[in-house]
Amino acid sequence: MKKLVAGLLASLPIVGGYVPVAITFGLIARSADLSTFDSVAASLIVFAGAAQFLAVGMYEAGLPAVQIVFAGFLLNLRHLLMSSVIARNCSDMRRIVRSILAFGVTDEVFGVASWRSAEGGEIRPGFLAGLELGAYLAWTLGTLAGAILGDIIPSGLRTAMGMALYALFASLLAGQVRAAHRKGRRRLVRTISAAAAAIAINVILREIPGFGAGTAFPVAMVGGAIVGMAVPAGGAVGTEGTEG
Amino acid sequence: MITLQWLIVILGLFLGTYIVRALPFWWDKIDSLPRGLTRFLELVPAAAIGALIFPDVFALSELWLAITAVSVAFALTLLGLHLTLVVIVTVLAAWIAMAVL
Repeated sequence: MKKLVAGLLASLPIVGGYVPVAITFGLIARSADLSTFDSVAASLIVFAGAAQFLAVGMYEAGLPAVQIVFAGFLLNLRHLLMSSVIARNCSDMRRIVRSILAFGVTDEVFGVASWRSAEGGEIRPGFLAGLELGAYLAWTLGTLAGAILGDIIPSGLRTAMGMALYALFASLLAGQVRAAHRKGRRRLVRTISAAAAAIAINVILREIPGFGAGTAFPVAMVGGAIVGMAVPAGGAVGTEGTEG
Repeated sequence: MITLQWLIVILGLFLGTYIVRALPFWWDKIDSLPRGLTRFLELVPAAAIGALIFPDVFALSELWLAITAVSVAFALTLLGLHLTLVVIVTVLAAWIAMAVL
């Protein structure tokens, strides 16, 4: 019980970050003609911010479910790394406990848990449960608040909200660029190249008759990331040394 | 009100997300992924988001306003404004612009 409270307290920074983003998700899901129930169900069942935003965007573009699920799966593969770091602390827990705790390993939960672990603190089941519970409540209740808010705003504003999804994507992309910049020049070049290549591939493929958005998008996503990996190996290697 | 197509999407997303998160909890041999795969996965979000913006943003009704909104949102985030504030500021500005123009 003490551990659970400690976990809940440790989740407060995550709560502060999640609530506004969850409200945004609720608003955007409503503007994509999804119901309040649909919006909240997504947050309750999936609990993965980036994948949920991606899904709303693709759903609104009319892409088939299979493509959306595949794209979300690729986007969430990165959690394999995070989960394996946290799971190391959980090997002595019962299987059912581990299976439940695995549900809540988001980017931010991983961030706080690994920070605590780096500070020398222990990650026990109770602590992890509190941490995840706080984050989960913030995410789902924030979504509900956003979805309800989407119902009461004036209709002119709702039209402007059609742009909100794209503003959000632009903001998320800029966030990726900022984060890459903090990790050094090499990562920055790779990230920008990946995005630019994906955009180019998507724009070109969509011009080809017979290539729908559903075919173009996964190709662009995977192709862009591969181009991003390849670019610095040829171009920026010379500058690596001077960067230190 | 449930949208069936959407329910299928989120159930699929749940499976994909949960399995990825749970695998290391069930099977502790996954200590590290190959470097190439890690590097690839790090770049997937930027590539995916880029492809989500273009070319679909060109299909919006108020085209120039939309392009301005997207550019402003990108720039404001680069300058360090929080995601939610960026979206709110951009949408309110677009709303006012639509009312004025």
